[in-house]
Amino acid sequence: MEFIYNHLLSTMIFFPVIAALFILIFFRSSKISMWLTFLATIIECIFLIPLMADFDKSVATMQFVEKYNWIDSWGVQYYVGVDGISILMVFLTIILTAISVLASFSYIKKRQREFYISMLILESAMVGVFVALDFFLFYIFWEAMLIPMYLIIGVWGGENRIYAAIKFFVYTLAGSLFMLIAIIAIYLKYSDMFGERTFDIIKLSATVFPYPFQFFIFLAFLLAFAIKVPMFPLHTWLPDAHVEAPTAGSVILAGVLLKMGTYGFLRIALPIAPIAAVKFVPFIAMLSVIAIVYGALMALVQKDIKKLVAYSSVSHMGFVTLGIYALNKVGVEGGILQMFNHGIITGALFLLVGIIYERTHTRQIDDYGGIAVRVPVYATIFMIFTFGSIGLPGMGAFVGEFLVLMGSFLAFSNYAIIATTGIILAAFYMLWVYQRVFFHKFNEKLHGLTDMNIREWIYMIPLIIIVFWVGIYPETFTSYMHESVKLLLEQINNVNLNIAMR
Amino acid sequence: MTESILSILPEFLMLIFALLLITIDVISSKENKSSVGYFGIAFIIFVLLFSIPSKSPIFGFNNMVVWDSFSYMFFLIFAIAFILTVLSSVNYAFRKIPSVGEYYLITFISIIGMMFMASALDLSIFYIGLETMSISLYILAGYEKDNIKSNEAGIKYFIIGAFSSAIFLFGLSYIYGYAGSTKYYDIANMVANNGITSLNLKIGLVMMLAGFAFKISAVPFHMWAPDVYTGSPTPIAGFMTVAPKAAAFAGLIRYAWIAMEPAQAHWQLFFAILAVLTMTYGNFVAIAQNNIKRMLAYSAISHAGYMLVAFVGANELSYRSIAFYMFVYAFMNLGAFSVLSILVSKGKVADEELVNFSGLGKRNPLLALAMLIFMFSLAGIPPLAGFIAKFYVFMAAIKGGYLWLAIIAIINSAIGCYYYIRVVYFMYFKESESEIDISFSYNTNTCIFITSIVIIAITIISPVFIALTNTLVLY
Repeated sequence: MEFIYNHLLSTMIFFPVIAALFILIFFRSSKISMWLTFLATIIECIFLIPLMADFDKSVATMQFVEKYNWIDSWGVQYYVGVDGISILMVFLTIILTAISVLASFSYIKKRQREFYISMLILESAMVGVFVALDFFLFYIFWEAMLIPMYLIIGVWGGENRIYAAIKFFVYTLAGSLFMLIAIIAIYLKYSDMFGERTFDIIKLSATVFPYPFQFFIFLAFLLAFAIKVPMFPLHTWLPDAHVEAPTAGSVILAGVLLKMGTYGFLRIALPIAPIAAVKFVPFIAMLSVIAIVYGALMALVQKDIKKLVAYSSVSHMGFVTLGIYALNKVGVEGGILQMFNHGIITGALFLLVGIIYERTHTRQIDDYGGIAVRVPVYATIFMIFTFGSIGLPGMGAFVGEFLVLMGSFLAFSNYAIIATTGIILAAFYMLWVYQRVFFHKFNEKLHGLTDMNIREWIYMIPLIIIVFWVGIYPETFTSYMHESVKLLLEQINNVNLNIAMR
Repeated sequence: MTESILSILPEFLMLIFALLLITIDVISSKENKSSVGYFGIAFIIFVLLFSIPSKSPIFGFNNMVVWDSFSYMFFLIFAIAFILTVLSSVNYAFRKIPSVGEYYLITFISIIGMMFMASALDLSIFYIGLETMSISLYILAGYEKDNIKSNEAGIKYFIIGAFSSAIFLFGLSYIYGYAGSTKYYDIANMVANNGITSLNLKIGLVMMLAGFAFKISAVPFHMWAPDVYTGSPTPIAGFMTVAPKAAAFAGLIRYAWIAMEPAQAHWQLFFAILAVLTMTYGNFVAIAQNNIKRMLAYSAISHAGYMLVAFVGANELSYRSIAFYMFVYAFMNLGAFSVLSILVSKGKVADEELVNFSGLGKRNPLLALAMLIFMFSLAGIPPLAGFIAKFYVFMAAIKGGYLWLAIIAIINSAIGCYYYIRVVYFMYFKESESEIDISFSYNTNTCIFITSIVIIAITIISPVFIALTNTLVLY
């Protein structure tokens, strides 16, 4: 116990992989591997308890740090830790993985054992990305995630899954290779400047690199992260991947993978290239606003529910980037909170779409109608998350969007005003789809539709609790990030002030 | 700096063992010819353990050869290639090749040539090594006598190889005429003192570099490679994509670093162009292949391009990263070729067609998993070994100030992912289409097992290997 507590983060990274190996070697039965995987993800949730409870909210520095030399001659370390920004993401990752594993019990019908092994490996890599504080380690986890996700989309996805899987893979890979170049360039620049070789993200963040160099670094990071978020012109992989992926894949994609892009901005791009970041603000704010409006408009005209939710993701992630690039405390905190909310709410929406798809095998809005009569409970829960997605006060997204808009109004009021239309459009497309699916005339073909079962209840309940919790008392979650956000902004502002003074 | 005849001790030991192998071949019964291969493995491991270099290099024959950590590192790569090739050959050779004994023997002898190439400090020694290696490989390429493709490969390889050797030799004569010596150090002195304006030197240099480019199959000197790799017996094709390439790189590095150090800016440009062409051509043509063996042949060309990217960087990281890359590449490529060598098609298509992989994930999950590891590693996806190797290579290029070249290389490796992943796609996403047998054998399975374990393990224990490459110093 003592050992696990002292190496809590490492345990959280490697436990799923070890569990996966264990299943791979010892068990052949798909039923057993399914339950064991669920057990493993629940144990992973238990590890969260000491992490969340013993996290010291009053300091901005990294906690639960583990640091060992790995490739000495390159200065590569095994260096992990959490701060206020990453801890919520770790929380989100682990909760959503457990839920999506539970949601796959009846959805995944072929090659179950391989599916659950992929999920466990994916979980390891995702936790790794959020806690890695060494560039090399970060990159390894970042890319390692691709293989299981590619397989999840490609093997267990829908009809057009192979196209979607390859598109997803090539897009993400192209972006991250640019990040690789930036990483190597930073590494060599640092060793030129100080004669020390290191991939330590914290150390590199504290260094002020010369400006033209920063510009290129930032551009490379922007490309890598913008693909992942995804920001406006680079979003085209997302609808395909989301629609074709199995429910669990969509949940993880929307809930966790998209957050890696924005997390990358916060952890890497902003602190390492603050001068360039400030210069890029108008450009990124513009792209964010375009994403908000464009995503919403695209969502409006979709005929496929899952695609609609996917496009709404583009719109919601626009809010996140808008908030982050406001570069003030309110905006950044709103952005992070919105990351968290989006993970929960969109995750829940994908789960709900998955529940009905399992019963009817169609996602076309036109094939439904009036089903609220048959499935009242399902309709109610769908209603809750519809309102959650719109940003009704009392639910999580309201707080996040409010903070983001407040922050961005302080920074660039014009964009903030346009961004508000995104919320109105969200109400439009979400309520409209709700109306067409649940009300109107009952479609007789859906005669035998059954309501949610116990298992589905079990995995929806935590999400409902969280979404109201954030809406009613957001301080529980924002209190984690106050200090870290303050430190981040101080860093950026100090560097830019120094430049301005010169 | 010691001067001693011990500098050729490893090569000498190898030669004695080669003669021993001939005897073993003669006395072993017809069913037991694979014992020649096993003895070869034992011998080469013995030499490996026996010839670990001390800190200071041993020079011999008035600075004509040297045995240092660099020679040893490359010997290690050759030895790995030999061991893995023999393991994957036993089963294959049994099915397809007559007179197996010599097959192992010739492979063994080609290693001696390669060792001389890696440790030569003199052009004439290098040339002898080159020819020893090449002639062995000509024979091996055409070893499947009954297979017309293999015959074609042998003849094509021989004619083009002889042609490139001739060009190399012609260039060498120019250099000799200019410098008055074939020793690297003397050439370097001469060039440093007189500059590089002389036309003789330029012609000689270009011709020699073209000769090298033939051996590492850099575009546009690659024409022979796809046909030869495709036609040769599968394990030998794997061997030829690794060992001779490593040897040519080793020789090229010594020659360029020591003898042509004063003309660095010139050969950097020459190889920068070659690197871009090689990577891009190899990748794009590989995309269009439906035969995995041919695809791997083109991928071998593009991998030579990545190594050239590091080479152009021209700093100490360059040769270290090339050595490391070759080391990793030996495992992943030979692993992939040994998977290929056990597939036997029952239908009308050739054994190595892509369609034969369809549904492999279901029929033979472990083999498919191994192939997945090889493919993702060749594509350079972390956390597999191929990534660390690529990372090293890009680092060398960027350190040398060739950021643009690194960017092109990185774009190329993204393109390259497509065709590697296509194999995975066929294995896992497609239903089985063609009838195929997997000829089971312990040797090949051992080989596949070792390679996949090493590929996974290198990432975790990479410090050891990188520290090993850091001991490489060129004198």
